[in-house]
Amino acid sequence: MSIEVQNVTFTYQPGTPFATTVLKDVNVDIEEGEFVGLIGHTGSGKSTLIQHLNGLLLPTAGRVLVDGSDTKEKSVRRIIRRKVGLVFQYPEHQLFEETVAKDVAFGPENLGLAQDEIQERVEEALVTVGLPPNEYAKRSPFDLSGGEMRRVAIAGVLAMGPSYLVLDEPTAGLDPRGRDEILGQIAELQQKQGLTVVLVSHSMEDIARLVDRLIIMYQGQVVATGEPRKLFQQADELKELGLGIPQITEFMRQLHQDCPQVSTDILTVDEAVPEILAYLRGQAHA
Amino acid sequence: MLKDITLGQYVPGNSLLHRLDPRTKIIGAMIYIISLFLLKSLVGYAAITIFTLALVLLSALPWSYVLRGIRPVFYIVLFTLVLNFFLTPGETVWQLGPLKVTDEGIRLGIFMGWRLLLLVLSTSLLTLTSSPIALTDGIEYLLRPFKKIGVPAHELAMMMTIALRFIPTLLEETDKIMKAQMARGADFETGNIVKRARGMIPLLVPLFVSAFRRADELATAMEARCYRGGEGRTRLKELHFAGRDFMALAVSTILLVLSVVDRIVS
Amino acid sequence: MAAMFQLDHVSHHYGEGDEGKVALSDINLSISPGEFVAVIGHNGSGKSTLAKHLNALLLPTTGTVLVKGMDTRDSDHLWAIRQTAGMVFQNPDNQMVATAVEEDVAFGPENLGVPTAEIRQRVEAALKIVDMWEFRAAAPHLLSGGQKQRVAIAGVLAMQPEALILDEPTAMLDPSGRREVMDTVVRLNREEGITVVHITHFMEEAVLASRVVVMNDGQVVLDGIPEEVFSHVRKLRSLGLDVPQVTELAQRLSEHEVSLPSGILTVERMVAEICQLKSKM
Repeated sequence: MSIEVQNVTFTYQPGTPFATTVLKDVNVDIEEGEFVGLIGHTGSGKSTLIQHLNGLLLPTAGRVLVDGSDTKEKSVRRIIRRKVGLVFQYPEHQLFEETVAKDVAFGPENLGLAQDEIQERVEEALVTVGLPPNEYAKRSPFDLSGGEMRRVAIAGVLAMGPSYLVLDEPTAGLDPRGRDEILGQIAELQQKQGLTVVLVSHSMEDIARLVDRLIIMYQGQVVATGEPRKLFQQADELKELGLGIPQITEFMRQLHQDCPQVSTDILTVDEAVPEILAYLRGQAHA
Repeated sequence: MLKDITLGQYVPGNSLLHRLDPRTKIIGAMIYIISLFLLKSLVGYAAITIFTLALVLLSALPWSYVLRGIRPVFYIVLFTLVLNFFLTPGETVWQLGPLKVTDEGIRLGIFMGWRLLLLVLSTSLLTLTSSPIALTDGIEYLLRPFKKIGVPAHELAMMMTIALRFIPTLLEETDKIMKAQMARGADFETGNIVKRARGMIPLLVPLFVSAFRRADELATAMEARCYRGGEGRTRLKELHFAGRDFMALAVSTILLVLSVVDRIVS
Repeated sequence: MAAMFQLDHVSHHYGEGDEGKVALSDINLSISPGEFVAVIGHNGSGKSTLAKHLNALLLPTTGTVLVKGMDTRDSDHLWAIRQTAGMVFQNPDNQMVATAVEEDVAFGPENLGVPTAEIRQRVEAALKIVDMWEFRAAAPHLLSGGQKQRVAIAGVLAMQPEALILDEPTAMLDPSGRREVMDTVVRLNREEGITVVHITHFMEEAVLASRVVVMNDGQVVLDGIPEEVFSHVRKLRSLGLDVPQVTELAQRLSEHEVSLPSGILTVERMVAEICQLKSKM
């Protein structure tokens, strides 16, 4: 079970003077249970790529297979939209119902599920995003704080019961606490329920902390893919792509230039503490 | 992408038509339309057609652009033509069952259709050669004398500017919300009218909420930049009549006079 | 020298009477001309409400706010205050009025009744400062987020203000947009001497300021130079705020009896400190 993006090219308004190719021969596989980070400068094609994963956009050339079904097939589109949950940037802007529960139920209702199953899914989804149903279900989504609205919107996608969850900058505009809460919940979903997660983010610190594999895009192409630990070693190449590395990794890199004994493949503060302690106490491995 | 749609289809350029003051062009277009409806004779129609084609040449616009402006009304013109053919009483030229085509009908149909084409052609010349900003400024200036009788000239112009500014933003937003709801299984494409209308709620409610939020924030931002209505405001671009504007207005007046003569004589 | 902003016992309640939500409570703050103050705090801490008091978009429920000695409650001073203290907002789309960049920048001076010839000069100067002159004829919706915010800054500069209040101008931008905006703001403060009050929750931006004010529950809880404020790693964390990763590293190392000075904010400084420590061993 996986999403396979095969030789996908996408052109906006093909055949007109406005034609722009935003994806060029993209090949990507997303395996079941993975936590994938998708990074790239604004305009690199990330948003266009993720809209291909659930068939909102269809490739101009090439194909996208979700668990073996082609997104171009009209008959399977509904199933694909259910399997691949897509959370857009600022998803709170899509809320429209009178109550939180009704809004979260919108997706399951479109799937034509039975009322009690819908009810169950709504409650489950609200619990997952840390909004106790007895407290929130009957409230108007428009009376909530920005961070809470964001979580209602994510619950609305989770209630569809997706096996793949794709999130486009889910923490944009949130303060650090709101950010940590949402990322914590996503990580838990991935670990405990085996959900496959694709996270688009500009925060290298968050990416480094969370994902198993990175996909790097540049000018409509996938230019690198691999473990963050490996890719963040290539700070100069990333810089050319308009990307940074986590501050702590940058620190280890600069320290390494003066003191070659320290390791540079450090991604978090937790990893850096023992490394520096060992170095200062003269136990560092060369 | 929706946001690539150009507004008011303005094509930047430096032709005589482009350089005319927007007020001249608005007044000129109004005179042109009045003349068009005054004309009655074949000679009159031929003359104004040649005049219009001369204007297109003066605008230095590619013909493809000008003709594209006519395309949307093509079916309306066709409809007018057919309707007049069959429904005007007169001498029967050709008959198909109960439907009769009359010679009077053919004459009227062609005149009406032709008039409609010229009307669209001339107004699209106006929008093709004037930026939305210039048009708004022109309308504000022209409405100023009516302020005394309660026409809010400045406010109308400001509303038009803000509308023009936010149309692309809201189009983009519509696209985004639609996709977000489609990702949650919403269907905007199938079903009967009732189902489709109900299906618009998940799109329209967020759009309204967002439009109100934007309006609120914009009002605050305008206040922070010392906006307090039109009183005592100055402008980055003042409008000035040049020699060519007086020329153009003179030509327009001659056109009007000739049309009146044509009407009386025919 | 008169303070640019002087807040005395400022409280602000949303809504009426006792039920009204308290957004600011008893704030005392003085900001001098030329300062670069970053105001940080989690969402709902009152930082945006505070910002809106600095140019009379909001008025204190009790207490006084003086802008260059002018009381914000005195409506005679309203326009002078807003011209002195210009404001840039969070959402770049919702603060642009016109359909072309130069027209938008001209909006403020037009409102002030500046003569046409002078508006032209001001628009040109302002767009050149923020490096957006070549985009003067562009439609705002075709610009990037960072470019839109720089146009918004130019729009304020064209009013020739003495202070710039930035209400989370980078919250909706990508890293390169954030960098563009911050480079511009820092330059305006250092080279043009404009007083800056920058509201943010990005710590790497607060580090650029000459002074950091931390807000929580409508109150000022910390106020000092960045090095001093960021030495309170635990307190900031408990307020739901971040510290730079190197600052956190220094704090964590000091728990293991590694003696580092407090308030290390940059990678360069941390590298220097570690190297120095090693050489002493």
